[in-house]
Amino acid sequence: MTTKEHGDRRSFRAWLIERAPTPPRPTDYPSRLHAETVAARAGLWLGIAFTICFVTGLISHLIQQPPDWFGWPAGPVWLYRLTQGVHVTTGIAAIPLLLVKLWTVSPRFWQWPPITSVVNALERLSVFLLVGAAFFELLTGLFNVAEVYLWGFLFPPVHYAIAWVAVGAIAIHVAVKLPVIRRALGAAVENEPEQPAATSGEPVEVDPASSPRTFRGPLSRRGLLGLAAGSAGLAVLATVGDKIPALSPISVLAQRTGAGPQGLPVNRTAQDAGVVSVATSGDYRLTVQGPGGSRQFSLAELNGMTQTTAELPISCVEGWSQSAVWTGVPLRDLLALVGAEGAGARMISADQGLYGQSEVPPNVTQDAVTLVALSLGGDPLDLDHGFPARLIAPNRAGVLQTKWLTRIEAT
Amino acid sequence: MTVRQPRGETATRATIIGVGVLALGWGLWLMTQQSLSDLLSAGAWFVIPAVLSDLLLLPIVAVVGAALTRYLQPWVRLPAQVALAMIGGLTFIALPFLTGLGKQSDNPSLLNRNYPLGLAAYILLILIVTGGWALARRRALRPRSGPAPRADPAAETRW
Repeated sequence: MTTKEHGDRRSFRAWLIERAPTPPRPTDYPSRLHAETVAARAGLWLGIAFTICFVTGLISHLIQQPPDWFGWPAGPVWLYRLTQGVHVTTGIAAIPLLLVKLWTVSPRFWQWPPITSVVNALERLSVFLLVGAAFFELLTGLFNVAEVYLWGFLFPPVHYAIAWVAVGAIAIHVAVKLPVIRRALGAAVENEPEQPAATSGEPVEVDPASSPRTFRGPLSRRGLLGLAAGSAGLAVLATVGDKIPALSPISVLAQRTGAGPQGLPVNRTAQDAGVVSVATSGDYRLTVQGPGGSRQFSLAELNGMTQTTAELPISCVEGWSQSAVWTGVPLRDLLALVGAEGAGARMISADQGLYGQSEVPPNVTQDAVTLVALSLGGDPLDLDHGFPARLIAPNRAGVLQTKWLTRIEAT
Repeated sequence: MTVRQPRGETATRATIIGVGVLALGWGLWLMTQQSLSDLLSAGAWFVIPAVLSDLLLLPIVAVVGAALTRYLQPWVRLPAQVALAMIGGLTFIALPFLTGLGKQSDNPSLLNRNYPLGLAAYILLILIVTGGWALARRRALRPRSGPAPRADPAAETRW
């Protein structure tokens, strides 16, 4: 081997090493859009969105699993429709906001060295919990609306638990960043000293000589925020039509068109619930049990009782909702027949599944339009809408509007 | 730029952190009620999107953004950036619907839209609007008569 060959090989190795891909550094992101004035504003909007999602989600959780201290009114009839529609819509709108926020601060991910102190390690851990929980909530929520279950766990309790992780991590993040947030929100969006957010407040001192000049791309900071808001708005328009029927034609990504048997969508079909034979059996009886004993009613007997008609929405936890005209026997009339005036009730379905039972608190059983519904839009209930009899009560989650009723117990 | 700490701010921040730790701890405690297999499944949905966003999604956006803002004709840069961001965001939200995995054969009232067609319509609309905008910018940036078109640096940053 000649010296020359040896030298060539060494220079080739040096050439390779020189060109080996290295992880980016915060200073590799020169765009003026990586600015704390942008991050703070996108973060503020995201914080508001998560707060709305958390509060409305907590309401839905408490309605479905009420502790002793919790009460939920029977009216206005549309209140749960509103809170749950807002929950899902705000969550979807938060997806573009989260992506823009993360993109704005993304250079910080490549801080070097990765950890500089115990405090820095704790801060990075809290940011990881924040990002993990935020993605978890928004993605599982979105996939739940699309009914795509690419996971093994039961959605409601886990979505609920991680919501607490998310709000806790947000609170910690806001507290840690409070001085930066104050400074950034106090400054005009475009007026921040032109220095990437990645380097401002960075624990590692960046050598100004090695820091590249801020890159002024075509998009302004205000423009980026406009783009975030516009994307969120577009996402809302594209999905909100299953909550606001007037927008259905343009909501191309809505979970439903609003069509269904008797003009109303169905969440769980009779076939899915395994109740077809019980519900269509000629000797169907509804048993009502209370302190005054137990009584059984055939469908004809139920139809022979005094009927009440009311317009009430089905408001699904997945966000869709639609109003319909229901006719049936007020639940309080049935309870009175077994000596259970003023009592609560447990509604039991032929459906043996997870959602085959629900509890109706006394304030709701006493409401004049809490019905054991027998017809929808003037016709007997479709099998998929709970034939022969179903509960329909005001201001209540759809999952608690128990279908295919076989038994009512006063509680 | 230094920030004067308002009086009592340290206490405020400590309180918020305390509340945050409590909420976070409560959420983690609730998670301990789950079975190990459910925990692992939830853990994957917690960790993988966060990691992929930092290692895959955001770097791709950065590279695409760098290319768009440097190599395209000046008049098309901003409209292209806006179009891609809006299409990307909307497609991200459309993904679970596009899979069709949630459809149930016995329930025609569920997921009863043509999601690929709907998304395509929105994308087309975004392209038409931003395309028109790009052409208007091109006209504005190119003098009616004169030599080769030159970018107006002020128009570059015009929103």
